[in-house]
Amino acid sequence: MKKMDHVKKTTILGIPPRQILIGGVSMAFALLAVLSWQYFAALQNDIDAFWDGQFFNYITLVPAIGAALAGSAVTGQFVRGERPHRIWVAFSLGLWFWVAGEISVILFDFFPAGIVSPDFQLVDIFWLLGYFSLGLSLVLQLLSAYGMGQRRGLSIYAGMVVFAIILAALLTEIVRKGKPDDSWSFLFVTILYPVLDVLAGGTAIWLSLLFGRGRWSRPWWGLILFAITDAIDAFYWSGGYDLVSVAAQNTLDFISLVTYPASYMTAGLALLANYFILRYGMESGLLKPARESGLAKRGME
Amino acid sequence: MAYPLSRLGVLVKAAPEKDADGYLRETKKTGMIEKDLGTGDYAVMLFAGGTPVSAYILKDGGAKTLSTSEFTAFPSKSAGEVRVIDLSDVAGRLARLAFESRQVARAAIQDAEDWRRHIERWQRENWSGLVEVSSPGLYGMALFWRGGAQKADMIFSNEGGILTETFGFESPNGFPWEVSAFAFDESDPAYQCAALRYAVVDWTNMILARYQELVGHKLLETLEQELNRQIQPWEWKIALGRAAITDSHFFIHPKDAETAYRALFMSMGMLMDIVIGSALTRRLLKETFDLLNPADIRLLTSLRLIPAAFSE
Repeated sequence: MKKMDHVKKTTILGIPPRQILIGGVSMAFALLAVLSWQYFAALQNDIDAFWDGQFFNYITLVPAIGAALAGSAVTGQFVRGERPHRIWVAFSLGLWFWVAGEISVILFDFFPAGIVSPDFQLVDIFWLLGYFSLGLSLVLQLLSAYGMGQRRGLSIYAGMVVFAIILAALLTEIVRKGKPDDSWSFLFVTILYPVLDVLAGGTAIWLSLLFGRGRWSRPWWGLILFAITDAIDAFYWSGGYDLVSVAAQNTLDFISLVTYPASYMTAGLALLANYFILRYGMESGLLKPARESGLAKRGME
Repeated sequence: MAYPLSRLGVLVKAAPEKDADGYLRETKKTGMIEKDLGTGDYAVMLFAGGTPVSAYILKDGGAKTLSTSEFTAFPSKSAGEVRVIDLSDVAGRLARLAFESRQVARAAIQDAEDWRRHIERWQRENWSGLVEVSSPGLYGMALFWRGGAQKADMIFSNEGGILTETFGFESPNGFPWEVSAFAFDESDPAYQCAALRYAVVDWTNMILARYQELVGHKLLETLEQELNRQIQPWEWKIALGRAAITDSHFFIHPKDAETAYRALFMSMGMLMDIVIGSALTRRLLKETFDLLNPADIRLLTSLRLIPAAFSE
């Protein structure tokens, strides 16, 4: 029997894709460490100045842009008409909307004209467009996994959007009774985020369970982290912080602070890994089975 | 059957007449040793990849199995009448099926319309069997499976040699033809190999199509290339490409084919596991398995070639 040829390993500027990913993970941890260090330093001095400052926004912008670029690179690996093409177009579009949102948060400090109305800001438009794009990609991926038609998928998606809007409106009515001073639109947008988070996070968890440890679904793990961040945020806006101790508040703040950029980092690195797999196949060195079996095992004999 | 089966291959002029089987063994070729007995009868011995498969005596339009020693003992008309014919694996396995099958019909086909009617009838009847086409200018065999002529199991030749893409099976010419239909013997290993092959090919094609739908053409290509690479050391004539499997290998025993397919599915399952995860791989294998013909499901299940065996 012939000996099996070994798979060539590709390199990018002399670095194997696995090393690049390890470098990416290290960089992500370094950024989170710097952020944590700044937060704990501010906690000792002036935490309000930390939250009012732009440091966190700048740190977040880096992985946000990285994730959107990686998403576009993944999308570029498919041809129009392929089912995954639509999924990843929607996913990367969602990430770009969120990059626009992050930028508008930074610019908002310099250009208050970015405000659409006192209750509904430019950034909300980007966040919501991002949610709807990412939601669409989630639904398309789920339907693809279950082998269902896209026409039916779009109906399900439209139904989910309508459901989220109606649910947020109902909750707004309920919450408004306790907060008559806040405008309806402000409360509606504030409540719509956690509703969308529950839907997006739930669907992302569903997908993650369906795909298990498969590499394909790992970008969705980022959305699960976003849902955690926004859940803490919603807890804060709904007055939940009044019910917990300062130490618990600080812990929640810290979790939220770290998971937010970490969600972009997770999505970005998973997308980058998927890009390497799509671009270089087995040569990426990322598709090696844990153990040799089947043809390979017997081919080594 | 009239004996022009040697027309499905190429006469090996370089083969030593006294050590014809040595030639096929050493070159690991699929082929046939033919002895003209000088009485209008022939004795033939089939080889698959250099390994002797079986020997037959072709007499009175039928084939009877011979042992290797019986074949060796048959004297040919003269020393020069022992011929070695190189066959492709597809031709080899069709020849074996032809030797092992029973002729059930014979007809003279006058024109294309007549031929079309025959094909339609086989389709209607969901017929599985072998068709031998013979005319002064054309000879060939085609396997019909569940009513359909199988392009992967079809071989024709004319005076110019083996026809490949040039022969239009469904819009032919050169009539009249003599056509014989052969029914399979289900206990025959050649038939069992064919049945297993069709079940595996159908399942694999469905798996590959569904996988492509999930992950796109690039990852499908990666999977196909890796499987082709892993198949290479085995020297099986099995290849994957464009969401389809082509199995042109001449497996002698169904057990050998089963072993090959098991290894193939195991590797396929493992590679898909890495990308789409074990749960979805299991789901994909199960969904496609359930869409197979019930007879294929029974056959694969009896051999434990089932979804649960190929996903973690």
